[in-house]
Amino acid sequence: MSDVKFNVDGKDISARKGMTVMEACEENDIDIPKLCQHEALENLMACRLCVVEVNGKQITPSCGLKVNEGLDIKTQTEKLRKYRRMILELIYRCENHYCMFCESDGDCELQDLMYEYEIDRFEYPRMFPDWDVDSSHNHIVKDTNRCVRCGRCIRACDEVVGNQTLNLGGRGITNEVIVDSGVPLGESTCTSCGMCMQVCPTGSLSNKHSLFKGNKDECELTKSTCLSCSIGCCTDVYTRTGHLVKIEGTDIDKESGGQLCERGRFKPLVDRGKRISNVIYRENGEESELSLQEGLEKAASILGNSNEISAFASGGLTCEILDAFSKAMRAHGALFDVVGAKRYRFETEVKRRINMIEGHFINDITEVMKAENILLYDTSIYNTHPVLASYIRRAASKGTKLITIDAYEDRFWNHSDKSITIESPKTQLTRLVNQVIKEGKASIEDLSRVSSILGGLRVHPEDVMEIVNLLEEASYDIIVIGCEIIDRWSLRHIFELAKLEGSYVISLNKASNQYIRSLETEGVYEEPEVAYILAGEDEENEDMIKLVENAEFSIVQSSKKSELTDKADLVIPSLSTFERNGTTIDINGKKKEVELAMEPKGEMRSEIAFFEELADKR
Amino acid sequence: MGKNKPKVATACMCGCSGCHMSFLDVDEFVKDLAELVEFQSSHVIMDIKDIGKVDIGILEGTITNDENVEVAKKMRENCDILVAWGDCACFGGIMTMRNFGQIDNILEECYVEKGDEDSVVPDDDLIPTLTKKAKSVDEVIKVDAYIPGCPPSAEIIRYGLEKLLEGEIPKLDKDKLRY
Repeated sequence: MSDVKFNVDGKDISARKGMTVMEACEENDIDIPKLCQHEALENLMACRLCVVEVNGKQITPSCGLKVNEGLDIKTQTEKLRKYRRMILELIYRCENHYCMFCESDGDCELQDLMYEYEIDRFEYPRMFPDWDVDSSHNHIVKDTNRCVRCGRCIRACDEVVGNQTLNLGGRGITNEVIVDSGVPLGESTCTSCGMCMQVCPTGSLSNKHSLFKGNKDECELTKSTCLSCSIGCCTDVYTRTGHLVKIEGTDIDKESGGQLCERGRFKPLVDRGKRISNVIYRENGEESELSLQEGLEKAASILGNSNEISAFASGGLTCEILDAFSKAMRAHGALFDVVGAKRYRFETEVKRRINMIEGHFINDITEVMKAENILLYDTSIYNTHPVLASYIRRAASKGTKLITIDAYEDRFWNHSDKSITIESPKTQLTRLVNQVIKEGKASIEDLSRVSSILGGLRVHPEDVMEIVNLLEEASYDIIVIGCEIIDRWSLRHIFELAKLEGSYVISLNKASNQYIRSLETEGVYEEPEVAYILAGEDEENEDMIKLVENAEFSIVQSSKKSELTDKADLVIPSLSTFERNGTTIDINGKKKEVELAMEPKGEMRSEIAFFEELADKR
Repeated sequence: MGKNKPKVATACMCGCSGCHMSFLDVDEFVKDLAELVEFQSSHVIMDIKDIGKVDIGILEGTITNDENVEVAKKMRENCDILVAWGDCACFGGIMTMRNFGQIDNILEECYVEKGDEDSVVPDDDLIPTLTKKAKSVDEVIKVDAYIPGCPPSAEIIRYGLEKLLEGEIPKLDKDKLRY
């Protein structure tokens, strides 16, 4: 791109054609005030604080002004300061800002600007509008009293999250940010990702769980990686005096726009559970407490005296812990599995069986935004991989055709062009699609004939034709397979379909750490003598609970009290996610750092050392 | 006491006296200050509450009733330089939250709805009448200097007083300004 040269405050700068004056100034460290502009969002020119003087006559917002050869820009004249002060005061007077008891006091962009422009008195009378506070949402408080109508939340919800929940409603002084068609936030189509809150410049949208726990300056910041799913979003973890205050997304420059999801942002703040701090041993209905060392000896002796051991680990652990745990378990002759690994094993097996080349598989999930058509099997990705779900919604909003297939409710109902509800297995549907593609385009009548022959089939011929058309009309189509699909036949038919149509596949599994792809795992005994569960954040996993119930003796290692620890015979404390240090591998195969954000609480200091000792006690 | 020392009076209107408390945080500067100025009246550090003729008048708090109006006007008449001290005096502060509603409804809600069955809205000549809206000081009288903060820190108070004693009107720049 060609360079454009122009002048800002007497300094010659050059910028690439197509940039705005604001972007060019930012690159050259020239400060321009702003409230509505945000690097992850399209410019709206709502706040007008970024006004600059152009060629000595015109005053215009710099976020909407494209660079042009020879422009003469002034950013800091007395006239501009006067206007900006006026704008700030008008923004302030329209609502009820009380810094003193605002959660954002100290983290507020409006407050910073009021300081910058030295506003110590008001020229205009204030309005004191009477707004209600909306606290109906589980995690977010929406307070119009502190809103500056910058529209960042609205744009973030639309452009980044692809959900279009927030809108502007009303006119003039009754203008406000509304949710859907004016419902409370807690009853809306909100996905609870909290992106609106993250971009809010004031305290208008704030996190219920971190209210008044400290502003950013008072907290310690740790840059880490989210272990809620395999997307592995980069996070800013804020802690204060060893307690979690809040978590924010950071990948502003990436496609994700810095978003996180409900699980990544809020779950650690809400659902901390009761901490397991001691080893608990249960025998004949009696419960006793042991020291960590005694617990280790106990576990070692039980493992040493058993032949059928099933070891099952959470997929949300670091590579180092998974390694240490698997080594310790192998040393005791256990079969070893990780949450999500089963699906990956099936996938590999099916791939090999049908000779499917790796080229069909996409690991970069942002590719869905480039696809012409998307076929989505299992819409539970809305919960399991919410950031991918946001990309699919964004694609669909921009015109990508989306067909969803789910046994239950279509979580993409307001974005999909076609929702197919078909109970498991999806095999029949996919098989018919394959058949139609292979044997030439059969008419709907032919299909009806097939379906009547097969009898009892719940597949609608129209659905089959829709999918056939979807895949045939596009040159770049992506099939996304959610993690609930774990039967080999469904996978096989879907893979065959992709192979036949030259479609690309994004295949997801439940493991947050894709280290499982290189780790040796296998199916474990379903009714073992001993089950050793390393629960991580998967304490609600059904397979884990089943294993504990079916084992003669069960050992559960977990950081918090849960159904699992209640049922276990031996409970060993473990670290919580934010007390761990290590690495994780995301869906793209990229190694990411998981940083220790809080000092371990309790006797357990290092799980790796624990497992090494357990392995030695063979 | 020296004859030429500037005289200072402070008064609190509808507020929490937090600004006055914060003033006490200036610690040993109080000693220097006593050398430099003469306090004519101040409700937290002396017994004299009646405002007399002074050079510098300092007002804390919001104007919410007719007594506040009277105090403010009296201070204005008796001082050369009037300082609005703290967020309430400068901007209106927390007391302006009552401006969202009608005063009668608010009194009813506070005294009747939230009280027990015998509660009534107080009605006595001794009780100052509430103004229709809670106001910042400059909505009622002319203000010469603004020192916002909730409360302004001891350093800011000291800075403001020092400037005033140097004969300047203090103006807080972006590094000193904190609400």
